[in-house]
Amino acid sequence: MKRILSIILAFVFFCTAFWAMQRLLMPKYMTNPFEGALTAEYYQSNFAHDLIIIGSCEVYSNISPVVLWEEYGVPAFIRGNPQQLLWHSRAMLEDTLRHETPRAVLLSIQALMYPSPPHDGEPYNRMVFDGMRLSLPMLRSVRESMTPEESMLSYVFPLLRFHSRWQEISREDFTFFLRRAPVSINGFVMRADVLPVGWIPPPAMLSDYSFGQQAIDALYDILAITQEHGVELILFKAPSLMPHWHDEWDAWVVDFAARHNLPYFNAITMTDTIDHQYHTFNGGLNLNLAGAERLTRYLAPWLMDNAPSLSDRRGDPALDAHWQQLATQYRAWQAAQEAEIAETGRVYYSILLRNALS
Amino acid sequence: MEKLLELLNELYPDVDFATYDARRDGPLIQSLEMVELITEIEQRFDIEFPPSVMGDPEHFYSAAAIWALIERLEDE
Amino acid sequence: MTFISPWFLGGLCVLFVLYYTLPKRAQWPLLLLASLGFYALAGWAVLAAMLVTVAVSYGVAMHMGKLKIAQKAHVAQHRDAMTRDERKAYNAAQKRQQRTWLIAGLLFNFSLLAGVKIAEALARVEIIPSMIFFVGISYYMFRISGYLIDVFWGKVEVQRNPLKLALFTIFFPYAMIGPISRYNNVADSLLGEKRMDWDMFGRGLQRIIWGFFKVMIIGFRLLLAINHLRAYPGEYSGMFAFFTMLVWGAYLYADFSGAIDISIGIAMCFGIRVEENFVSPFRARDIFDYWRRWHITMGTWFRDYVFYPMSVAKPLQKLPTRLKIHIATLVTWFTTGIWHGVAWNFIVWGLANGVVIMISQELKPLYAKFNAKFSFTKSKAYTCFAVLRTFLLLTLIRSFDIYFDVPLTFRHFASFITNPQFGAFFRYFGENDVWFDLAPLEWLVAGLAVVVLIAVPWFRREARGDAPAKRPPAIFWALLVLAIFIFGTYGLGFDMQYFFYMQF
Repeated sequence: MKRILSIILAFVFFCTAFWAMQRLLMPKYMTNPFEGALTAEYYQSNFAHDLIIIGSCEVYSNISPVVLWEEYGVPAFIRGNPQQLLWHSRAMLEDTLRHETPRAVLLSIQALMYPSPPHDGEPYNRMVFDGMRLSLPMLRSVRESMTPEESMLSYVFPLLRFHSRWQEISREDFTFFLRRAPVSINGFVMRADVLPVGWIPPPAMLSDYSFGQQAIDALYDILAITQEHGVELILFKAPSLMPHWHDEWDAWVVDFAARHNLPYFNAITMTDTIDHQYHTFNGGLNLNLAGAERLTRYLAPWLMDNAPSLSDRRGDPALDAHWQQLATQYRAWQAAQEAEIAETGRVYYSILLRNALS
Repeated sequence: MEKLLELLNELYPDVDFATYDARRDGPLIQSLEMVELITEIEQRFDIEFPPSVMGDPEHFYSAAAIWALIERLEDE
Repeated sequence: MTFISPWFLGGLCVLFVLYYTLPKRAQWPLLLLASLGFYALAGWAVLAAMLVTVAVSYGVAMHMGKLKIAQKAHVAQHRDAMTRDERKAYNAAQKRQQRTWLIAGLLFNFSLLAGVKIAEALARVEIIPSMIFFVGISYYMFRISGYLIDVFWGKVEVQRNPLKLALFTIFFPYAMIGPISRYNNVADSLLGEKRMDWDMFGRGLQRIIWGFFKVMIIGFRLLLAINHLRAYPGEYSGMFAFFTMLVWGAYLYADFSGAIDISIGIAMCFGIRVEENFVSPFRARDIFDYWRRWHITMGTWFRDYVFYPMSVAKPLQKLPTRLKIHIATLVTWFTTGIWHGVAWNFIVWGLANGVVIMISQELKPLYAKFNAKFSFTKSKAYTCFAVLRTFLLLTLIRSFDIYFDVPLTFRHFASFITNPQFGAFFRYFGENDVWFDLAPLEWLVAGLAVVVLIAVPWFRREARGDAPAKRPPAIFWALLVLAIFIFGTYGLGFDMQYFFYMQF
C-alpha cells in the first residue's frame, strides 16, 4: 500500500514537474521573435468578432482593428503569424471556429505562392503552432507543415523540442512563466517608425505561374469550411512591394473569386493611397502604423459595401466598453513608440517589450 | 579419486581439495588454466574431454564434481 | 528502427497490455509476431535471410537430434554385445556423421550472412546509426550457431517447433544489440507461460529508464564530441588523441551497456530473464577480469564455442600445453575481431587483445611471486593502481575502433611520447568557448551523469546477481525520467540565433 502510494506520488510529482519544466523551457516570445506569441493571444480576447482576418505579416501589421471599430463599427481580430502558409491559415480558421463563429473571414491569399513547406520552415511552424490549443485540425496542419526532421509529438509536448534550452534560461522565462504580456492589439502588431523603400529586386521571370497543389487544396478547404459554417469568405492581397505578386497569379485569384462568387480586394494598386516612402517600417515589405490606418480606412468602406454580413456594431454597450479599453492601450503604445522614435529614430525591440509589459 | 586429488595438489599446492568448493570459495581457475587442467586429466586418465562440458562451471566446482565427470566420460 | 523512437516505445506499451491480457498460450506467438514486425522494419532482406537461416538450422538440428536418438537406442540395445572399444568406435562414427551435418549447417548460415552483408554493402541500403547496430544484425548468428553446436554436443533438447526456434533467434529486445543469449539459458523463460509479476515488471521498467539515462544523457552527448574529434584526426594528436580515447571509452560503455540495459529491461517486463552483459567493466583488475565484465556474453560465446573446442582439438594435442593455449587464444581473438567486421582495425583490435592476454598469462607466475613477496600489493591503493592500469591498457586497445584507421592509431600512440602537446591541450579549453563541439555546460552535464552512474549502486549489484533488498524510491525514477527528457540528446537543437536571423 505504501509502495503504491509512493508510486502515485512520484507520478504526480513527475507530471507537475514535467509541466513546469515545459512551461519554463518553452520560448516566451516576449522579445524577438515576439511574433511567436501572437497565436496564443487570441485566447485572451472576448471571442466576439464579426470579422476574423487571417494571413501572414501581410495582415498583422497592415490592418488596424481599432480604426476598423472606431470608424466603421466592425469588431475584428487578426490571426496572423510570420510566413503563415495557407495550411497554417486553415488551422487558424478551424481553431477560431472552435471558439466563435464570425460573420466574415478576410483571408490573405499571398501565401498561395508558397507551394509546399519550405525546408527551413521549422521556426515558422513553431511560431504558428506554439500557443495554439491542441486539437485534431491543428495536428493535421502540423503534419502537413512539418519538415522531415520535426516530430508531431514535439507539438503535443513542446518540451521535446525545447528541452535543450536549459542552457539559455533567462529572466524572461521566469517573468512570463505563468502569464504572457500582450504583444499585439487584437492581433495587430504596431510599428510606428519608418524605413522607406530602398532597392527592390526586379521581379523574376517564372517558367510556371501555377500555384502549388498543397496551397490550392488548403484554399479549397478554407472555402468549404467557411461555407459549412455560414461564414462569408473575402480574399485579400496586401500592398506589399516584396515579394513580387505576379499578374498571372492575380489573374488566377480573380478567376477563383469569380467562380466561387467571393469578393476579392487587391490593395497592390493603391499606390496613390499608400506611399512606401512613409508608410512602411521595413522598406516596402509591410506597412507601419500610419500605413495600416490608411489602408484600413481604404479597405473598410469597400468591405461594408461588398460583405453584406458586416454591419456597424457600435452602440452595443459590452462591445463599446471592450473596444474602449483596446483603444486606450493602442494610443498608449503609439505614444510610447513615438517618444522612442523622437529620441532614437527607430522602434527597437526594447520598446516592444515595454509595450508588452505595460 | 585419489589420482585426481594428487593431480590437483600438484597443480595447486596451496588448496585443500578435500573441502574446496568454488561456489563458496570463489573461482580458482579461469579459462586458460582450465585448458591446462583438462590436458593433464586427459593424459593421466586416457579419456577425451568433449568441449561441451568445459563451459559448464557445475562440472568444476569441486574435486568431487570433476571426479563424477571423469567417471561419466570413462563410461562412454 | 531503434529503441529511441516514440513509435517503438508506444508499440511496446501496447504489446505489454496484450501480453498480459491475452491467454497465456498466446504469449510466445505474440512475441514472435512483434519480433517479425521489428525486423521487417529494419529491412526485408535481413528478415528473409534470418528466416531462411532459422529454417535450415531447424532442419539440421532436427536431423542431428534424430541421429542422436538412433545412436542412443542402438547403444542401449547392443550394450552387452559390444566391447567398450567397439562402442567407442561406433559413437565416434556417429559423431562424425552428426558433425558433417553441423558443419554443413554452419557453413550455409555463414555464407548466407556474408552474402547479405556484401549485397547490402554494394547496394548501400543500410544506414548505420551507430557501430552497435552495425554489429547487431549478425547477433542472431551467434544465437542460432550456439544452438546448433549445443544440439550437436547434446547439451540441449532439440526444439521441435520451428516457430519457437525462430522466436529464440529473433526475440526483438536482444535482436539488435544482444546480449547473446544461449538457448539453454533463456528457452524456458522465453517460451514458457508467464503471469504478471509486478515486482519484476517494475524492475524491468527501472532498468529501461536506467538504460535511456546512459544512452541519451551520456552516450549521444559524447558522440557529438567524438564525431568532431575524429573528423580532424591529424590535428588532434598527442594529449588530444588520448582525450579522444578516454571519451570514446565513456561513450562506448554508456551507449552499449545502456542499450543492453534497455534490452534486459524490456525482456524483464515480459517476465523473461536474459543474461547480463556488463558488470562494472572499468573496475577490472586485469585483462582477464575485464573480459569477464565487458560484453560478457560475447566473451563466453567465443570461449565455449571457439577457444575450448580448439584447445582440446585433436591436431593440437601433440603440442605442449602452453603453446596450445597461445595458439587457441590468438585464433579465438582473431575470430572475435573479424566477426566485428572484415576490416584491419577490428583484426588488429582482436589480435591486440590476444597478445596482451598471452603476455599476461606468461607473467602470471611472476605476479604471483611479486604479490606474495610484497604485502603492499594487498592494499587498496595497489588495487586502484591495478584497476587504473587495466583501464588505460584497454583504453588503448579499444581506440582502434575510433578512427577505423590502424596506422593513424599507431601514430597517435607514438605522439603520446614524441609530441604530447600538453600545453596546447590545456590552452585549448581556455581559448575556446565550445570544447570539441560541446559547450562547457554540456560537458558538465555529461560529467555529472557519469558521477550518478558511478554513485548509484543498485544496478551494479543487480548485474552481479545479488539483487539489493532496498530499491531506489519511486521519486528517484521520476527525477531520472525528467532528467532524460530535459538533458537527453535528441530532437532538434534549440538555437535562438536561428530565430534571430530570420527575415519575415
